[in-house]
Amino acid sequence: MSVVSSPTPSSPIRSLRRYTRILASLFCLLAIAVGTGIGALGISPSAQLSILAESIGLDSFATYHDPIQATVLKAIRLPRVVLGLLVGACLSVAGVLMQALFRNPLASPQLIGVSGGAALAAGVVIALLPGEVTSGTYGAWVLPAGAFLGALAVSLITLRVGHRGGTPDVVSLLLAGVAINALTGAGLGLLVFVADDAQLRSLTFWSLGSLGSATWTVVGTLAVATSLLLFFAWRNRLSFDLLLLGHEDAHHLGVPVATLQRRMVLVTAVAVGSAVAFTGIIGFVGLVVPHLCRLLVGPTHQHLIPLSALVGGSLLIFADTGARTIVAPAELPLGVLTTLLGAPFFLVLLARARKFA
Amino acid sequence: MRTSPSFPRDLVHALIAITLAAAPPVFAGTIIDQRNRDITVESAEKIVTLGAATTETVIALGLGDRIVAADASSKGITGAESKSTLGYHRQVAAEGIIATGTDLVLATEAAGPPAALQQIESAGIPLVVLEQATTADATLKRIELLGTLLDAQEKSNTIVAAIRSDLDKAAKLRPDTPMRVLFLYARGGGAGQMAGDDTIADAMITLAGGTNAFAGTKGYTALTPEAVLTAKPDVVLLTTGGLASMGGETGVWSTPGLAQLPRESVRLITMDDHLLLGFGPRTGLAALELAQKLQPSSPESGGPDEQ
Amino acid sequence: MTAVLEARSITVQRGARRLLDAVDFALYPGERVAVLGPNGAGKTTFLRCLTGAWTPEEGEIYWDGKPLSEWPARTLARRRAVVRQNGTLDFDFPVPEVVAMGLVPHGPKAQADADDIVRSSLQKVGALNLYDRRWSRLSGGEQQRVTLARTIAQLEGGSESASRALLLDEPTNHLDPVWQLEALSVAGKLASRGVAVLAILHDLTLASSWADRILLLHEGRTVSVGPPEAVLTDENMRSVFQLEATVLPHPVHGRAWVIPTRACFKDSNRHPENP
Repeated sequence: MSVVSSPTPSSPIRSLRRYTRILASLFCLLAIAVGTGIGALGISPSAQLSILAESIGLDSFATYHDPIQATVLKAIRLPRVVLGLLVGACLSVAGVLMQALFRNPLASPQLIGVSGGAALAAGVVIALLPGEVTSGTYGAWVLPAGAFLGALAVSLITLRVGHRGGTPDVVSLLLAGVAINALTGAGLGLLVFVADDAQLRSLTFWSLGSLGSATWTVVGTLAVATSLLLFFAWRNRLSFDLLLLGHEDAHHLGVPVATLQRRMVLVTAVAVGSAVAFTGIIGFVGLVVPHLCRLLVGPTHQHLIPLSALVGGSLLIFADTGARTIVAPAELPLGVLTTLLGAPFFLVLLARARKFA
Repeated sequence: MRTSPSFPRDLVHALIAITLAAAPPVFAGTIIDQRNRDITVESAEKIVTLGAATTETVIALGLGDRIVAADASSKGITGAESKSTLGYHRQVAAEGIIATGTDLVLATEAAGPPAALQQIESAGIPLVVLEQATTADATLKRIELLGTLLDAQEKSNTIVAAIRSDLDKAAKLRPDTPMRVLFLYARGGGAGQMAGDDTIADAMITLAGGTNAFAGTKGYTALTPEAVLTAKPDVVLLTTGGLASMGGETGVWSTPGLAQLPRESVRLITMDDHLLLGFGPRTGLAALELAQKLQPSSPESGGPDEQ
Repeated sequence: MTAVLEARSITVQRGARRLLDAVDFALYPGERVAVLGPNGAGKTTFLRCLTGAWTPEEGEIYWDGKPLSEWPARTLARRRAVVRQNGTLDFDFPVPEVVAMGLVPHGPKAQADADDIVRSSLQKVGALNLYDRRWSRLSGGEQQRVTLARTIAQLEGGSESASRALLLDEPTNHLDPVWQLEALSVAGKLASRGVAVLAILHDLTLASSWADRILLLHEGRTVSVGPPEAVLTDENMRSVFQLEATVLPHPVHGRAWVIPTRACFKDSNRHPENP
């Protein structure tokens, strides 16, 4: 359902939105260029172009010499950049959805227990399952599968508990989320207690977040999950605006509030659960990006959703590029970087907002 | 060689080894690693080692200068401090490792993440996965494998022989009633852990002729006063790092549980962290040193009365 | 004439309390109805039953002759608008977009003329000057006018020729009297265009000057239904509002003018000085 001509607010708002759209797209292209171009292994721009040319069939341009560079670019860096784009978009749009659900700009997917559930399940896999399970052909999939199931299960429990007389109620949902996050935290604490040193470090590093697991298969999986989220978000963009009026007013305007809320939680759980399963916990993106975008284009979801996806994806690519080059040949945990950058930025946003309030 | 017993394979290896003996050190064709895969290694000029024991072994084989990068746990190995730039060995970066220009990656079963290891192999770099040793035999096997792989069999044989000899000497020192040893793993702040079965500390204690006072539980358990007193240790064993983090001997003896031990009959013994727990080429040395320290008449037995 | 909205014997029970007890009421197109009663009389509960936000334990609500539950939410949203006490919109939408929210139930075809409808709705409430503003910067009265504009857009933005209704729940009781008059004036204009309007009000005199009919509730029961002078009697003032009042014809509009003189508590043990 595309809006032919939405009510046009004043010209300044309109032009700001148009410029922001253009800038965001350019920003995204820049991010992709930087992410592909920079890495621990130096590959000259001409070599990169020729590798890419060859991969789309222009063999005459294949003038690079080192097959290792081709492997690094095509099998390591490119999937990582695409994964960064997908996960960044996924987390940001999920953040938008949660902020609409809870009618609060401070909400994030964490509130429904997605990250807590994933972390708990990851802890179980790392600390309790015998080593043989995670080696072997499908061994590498055990941890992501577990984390995804954990994320989904905990979110469903939160949804089920956060009811008041049969319909999801925002306050109950919030309280349920708080309680369940506390429970998963306690569960994790127990696992930390029984884990040995090596397991502990593994679990810690997993929870700090990384795009290191980026293979084209993983990218494919996340492309499906992110597409699901984006499609759902776009289809219901008008309803999200109405949700912000309050659920009774939204109901009076024809929004099937209970059904929509349930679906929002489910889709978020599936999409973010998939992302967290492969990347661990990447903080602040779901909180700061929607906030930033709202400052630029306002809270209308028609504009907020695409911008958040673009900005979130781009920022994550930049953060990941930093993570894998600052201490090369080692890597900084991505989640730490996004929080280190996100938190001060968030404080600045808050300070400026309060000045103008 | 201790891969699967196969005469034809041994023969091939021997032949290749002889042929290549005159050439500069390059390696013996194909080995089978811990994943039961055949790995063909063509050159080992720029080695990446993941795991302190592996790093230490490669250095002991005289090939330390061929190491281009190692993981963070190798920082304590003499000769590898500045090269330990790869971060935690369970979370390595594929591109980072490839960027070192390495032509051989030596990892243990613990290395990860799996995706990164796959990517390294798909870039054409041979990845050899070694067993993570928790027994003396496994350590010897690993040293021999590395010796074959890196064409340094003479050196590896020497090391293996030295370890065997030291272990024999340690075995000879074993008293009729072995000492009950409690190993404490401490990282400061009072959160100590006791080593149970299936730990490197347990293996070392046995090799040194002692017996683990805290046997019966697998892995490490948090220190509790009751457990300490039930264990009735004759010796409390700590690493030097661990001792420092607990506040020295005074700190140790004031820890609840340890404070109640009969000081007259319980001794405190410390050993260097990497030496005691490395399970690398110095395993024999470590076992012998520990065995000597466990001797009742050893001057090393520092007790509180000697402060 | 069929009633647009009809409540047949609705009862709402909350634990041991009966919030509404067998209340009957029919709302007709083009009329202005005021619902009055003291606090706890069940007015808001009644409204919530009418809008479908609450299902009564007994009895049924009918829209245009069919039970409310059989109507799809979207269809109802095109014909029935609700204005409640305080909006809870905390986000900084531009004013035109808030008004345009009323058009969402009408689907994509209405979006094509959205700008015109938004402007005309704002004009009808005298708020066209707020077009370039943002919601969170508006004063209480300005927000109420924009909300009314949104309601107008919702009711008139489509091509529906079916019956429409506007329900208001004390929309201005926290604002200055001028906004109260404003809101009722706008609602009244909608009534003259055929919309059935029902408003919960507190001010008895204002209700009497504005409404065609008054529904007086007390402790969940209907006390009286009818034109203002029939409902706002001395007896009802005493029994329902515990007020000794003088009811005169208002010098300006001639309708009932209720002047409270003193309290008149029914049970002596409810008097604050008589514990």
